[in-house]
Amino acid sequence: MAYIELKEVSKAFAGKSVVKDVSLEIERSTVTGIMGRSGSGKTTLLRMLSGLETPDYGEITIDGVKVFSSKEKINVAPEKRNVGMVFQEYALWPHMNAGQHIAFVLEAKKIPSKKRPALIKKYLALIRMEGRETSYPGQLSGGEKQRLALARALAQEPRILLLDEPFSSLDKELKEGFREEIKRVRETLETTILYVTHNSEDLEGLADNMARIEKGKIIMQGRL
Amino acid sequence: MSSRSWLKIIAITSFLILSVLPVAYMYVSSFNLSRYTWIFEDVRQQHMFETTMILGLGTALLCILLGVSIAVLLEYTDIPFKSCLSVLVIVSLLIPPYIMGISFLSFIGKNWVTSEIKEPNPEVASMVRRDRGITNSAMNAAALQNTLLNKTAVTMPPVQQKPWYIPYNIDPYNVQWAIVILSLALFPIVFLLTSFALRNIDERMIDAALLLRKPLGAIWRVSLPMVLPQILVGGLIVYIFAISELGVPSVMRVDTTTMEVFNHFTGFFDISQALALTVPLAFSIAVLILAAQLIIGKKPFFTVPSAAEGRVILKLGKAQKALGLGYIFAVIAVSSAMPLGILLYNSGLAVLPALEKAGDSILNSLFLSIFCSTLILVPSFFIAYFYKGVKWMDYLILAPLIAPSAALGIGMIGVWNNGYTAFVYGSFLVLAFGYLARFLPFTIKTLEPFMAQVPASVEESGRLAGASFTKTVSGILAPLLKPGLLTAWLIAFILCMRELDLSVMLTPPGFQTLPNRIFTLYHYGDIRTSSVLSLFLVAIVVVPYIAIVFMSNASKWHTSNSKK
Repeated sequence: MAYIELKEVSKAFAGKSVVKDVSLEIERSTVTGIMGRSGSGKTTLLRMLSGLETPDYGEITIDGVKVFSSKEKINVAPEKRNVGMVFQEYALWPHMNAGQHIAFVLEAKKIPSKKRPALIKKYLALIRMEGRETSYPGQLSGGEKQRLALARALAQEPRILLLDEPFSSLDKELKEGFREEIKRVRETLETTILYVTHNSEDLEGLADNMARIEKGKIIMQGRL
Repeated sequence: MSSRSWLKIIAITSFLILSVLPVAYMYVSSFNLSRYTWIFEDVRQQHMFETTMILGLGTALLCILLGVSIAVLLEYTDIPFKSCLSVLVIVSLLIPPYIMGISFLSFIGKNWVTSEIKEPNPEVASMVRRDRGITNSAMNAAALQNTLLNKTAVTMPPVQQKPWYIPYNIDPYNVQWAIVILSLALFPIVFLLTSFALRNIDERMIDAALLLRKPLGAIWRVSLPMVLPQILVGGLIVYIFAISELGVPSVMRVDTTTMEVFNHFTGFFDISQALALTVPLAFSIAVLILAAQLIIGKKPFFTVPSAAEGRVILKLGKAQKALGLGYIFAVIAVSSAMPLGILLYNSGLAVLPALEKAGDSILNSLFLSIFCSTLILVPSFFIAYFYKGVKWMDYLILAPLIAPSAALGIGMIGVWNNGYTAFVYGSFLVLAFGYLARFLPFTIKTLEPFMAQVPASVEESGRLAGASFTKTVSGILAPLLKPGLLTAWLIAFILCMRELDLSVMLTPPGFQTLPNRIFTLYHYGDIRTSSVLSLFLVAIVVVPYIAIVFMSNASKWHTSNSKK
C-alpha cells in the first residue's frame, strides 16, 4: 500500500480549474519530484497535501489514514497532519531569530522547555548552522535562509517533507549544497520527500520518482 | 547649482523653518530654570501631569485593543459584510473627538446631576478653581449648592433631564470617560495601520505557522508580532493626539496639563510658564518615539495599502460570526451612529440660521484646509524623495511631534508675531503655517513607503533619456506616486479640517475656523447651532474621503480588468 495516496483530487479557483482529477501514489521514504511549468498546479498540489488548501473533490490518504475526503467530509487541519514544508522564498518570520524559529516548532510539539536548547542546537547542527541561534533572517545569506527553513521543517519531525521550488533562487554552488543536504536528511531521518520544480535538471541525482503535471493534470509518472 | 540641489535645499529649509524653528526658538528664548523647578514642586501640576499621562496611555491602550481586534476580525475571518464594515469603522476618525464628547454628554442627558445650576464657562471656571485651589469634586459639590461661581457663570439654555434610557446615574466628568470618548474617536488610526500591515504579510509566512499551530495561535504568535511596529506606531500617534487634546478634556471637565498650558497662555499670557509646562509632555513623547524607533528599526512607519483583501485564516461558526458582527456593530454604533444621530436630533435641522451665524467659518475652514493640504504636498514630496533612507532625517522628521500642540502654538506666535513677520501673525497664514508645522511629519511618513516602491531605475531611465530633473519629477515620479499623493492630501485635509488645539491659540482677527466656532458656540450654550455645524464639518470631511476611496477602487477595477 502506498504511503501517500491522492485519488481524483481537483481544485478550482474562481471557477478556473487548477488541479484536475489528479491521482498519485508515493512510497514511504522516497524522494519524488513533481515537474511542471509555472501555473501548472504543482504548488496547489503540495498545499492540498499539507492541508493549507482544501480540495473541491477527491481523497487524500497518508499512511493509511484519510486526511481529506470530499465524500466523507473529512478534512484534517494542517497542524494535525504532521507535514513539514519548505516554502518558496522560505517564508521565515522576520521577528524571530534562528533559535526562535526552531523553538516555535518544538513548543508546538509540546517539547518541555528544558529540552529545547539541546534540540535547537541539534537541528542547527544538522544544517551546519551551529552558533547562529541569535541570527535573524535579515542577517542570513540566501543559502543560510534556505537551510534554516529546512531546519524549521525538520524540527517538526514530519512524516512528509514538502519542498516548493527549492532550487529556484539558488546559484549552482548553493543548489548542489542543498541537494546534498536533502540527501543527508533522507538518509538519516528516512522522511518521505516531495518537491516541485519547473526545471528537469533539478530531478537528476535526487529524485527516485517523478511526475509531470500540465494544466492541472498528471500526464506522466514513473521511476527515475 | 542644479535645480535638483536647489530643490533639496528649499525642501529641508522649509521644513526647518516651518516645523522645527517655532518650537526650538520658543524653548530656547523663554528658558527659565525656576519655572521648571516650580512644576516639580507643585503637587497640583504633578496631579495634572499624571492625569494627562493616564489619558494618553489609557487612550492608546484602548485604541490598540479596539483597533487590533477589529482589524483581525475583518482581515482574517470570514465574517460577512467585510468591505462595508471596513469603511463604516473608519467614520469615527472623521468626527472630531470633542464633537463625540458633546454628543455623548447629550446622549446621557448632560448635567442632569446638576440640573438646577448654571453652567460655568469652563475656561473661567478652571482659572477660578486654580486660584482658589478648588478641586473638581469640590467644585461639583459646591455647584450643587449653587453657592459658587455664580459671578463667572454663563447662562445656559434649559438643561436636559436624565433620559429614560439611562438606567442609573452616570458621572461622565472624569478621566475614564475621557479615555473612552477619545478612544472611540481615534481607534481607527490603529485599525487602519494594523489592517494594511496584516494584508501585506507574505501569505507563506502564515502558512508556515499554520502547519504547526491552530489559526488563532498562528495569528497570535506570527501575524501580530510581525505587525507590532505598525500597532506601536498607531498607539504612539494616538498618544500624541490624546495628550495634545484640548476639546475632550475641556468638555469632560478633566484637568490636564494641556488645558493648564492653554489657561496660562490665554489667562495670564505667561508664555514662559506655559512652555515649561509642556516640557514633561514633550519628554514623554520623545521617550515613546525613541522606544518605537528602537523596536521598529528600519521598517516603514506606514505601509502601502494592499489592493487585495485579507486572507481568511479563521473560519467562524454561526455563533462566532454573530458575536463578531455584534461587537463590530456595537463599536460602530457607539463611535459613529450615536454621535451623528444625537447631533442630528439636537440640530433641529436648523440649517439656515446656522449658516447665517457661521457660514464664514465653514468657508474659512474649507479654504484653509484645501490650501494647506495642497501646499503641504510640496515639501513632503521632496523631503520624502531626497532623504529616502537617511537615518538622521528620520529623527528630524519626527522631532516636531515631540512638542504638544499647545507648545507649537506658542512657538508659532513667538516666531511670527514680530516686526517683519507680523503680517503672517495677523492673517490666516499663521494658521496655515501652524497646520503645515503640525502635519508635515504625518504627510512625509505617509509618502515614504509609496516612494520606496518606485525603483531608482525608473527615475534613472528618465534622466538617461535626456529629461531634466524637474521633467523627470513631473512626468515620471509624480504620476507614479499619484496614489500616495492623494492619500497624503486626504490625511492632511482631514487633519486640517478637524484641527482645534492650534486654532484656538492662533486664530487671527476675523478668521475663525469651523471647529473653533463650534467649540465656542458649544461653550456659550448654543447647542443647536453647534450641532448643525458639527454635521457640516463631518460631511465636509466625509465627502472627499468617499470620493477618494471611490476613485481608488475604480482605478483598482480598471487595473484588474486591463490585466485580464
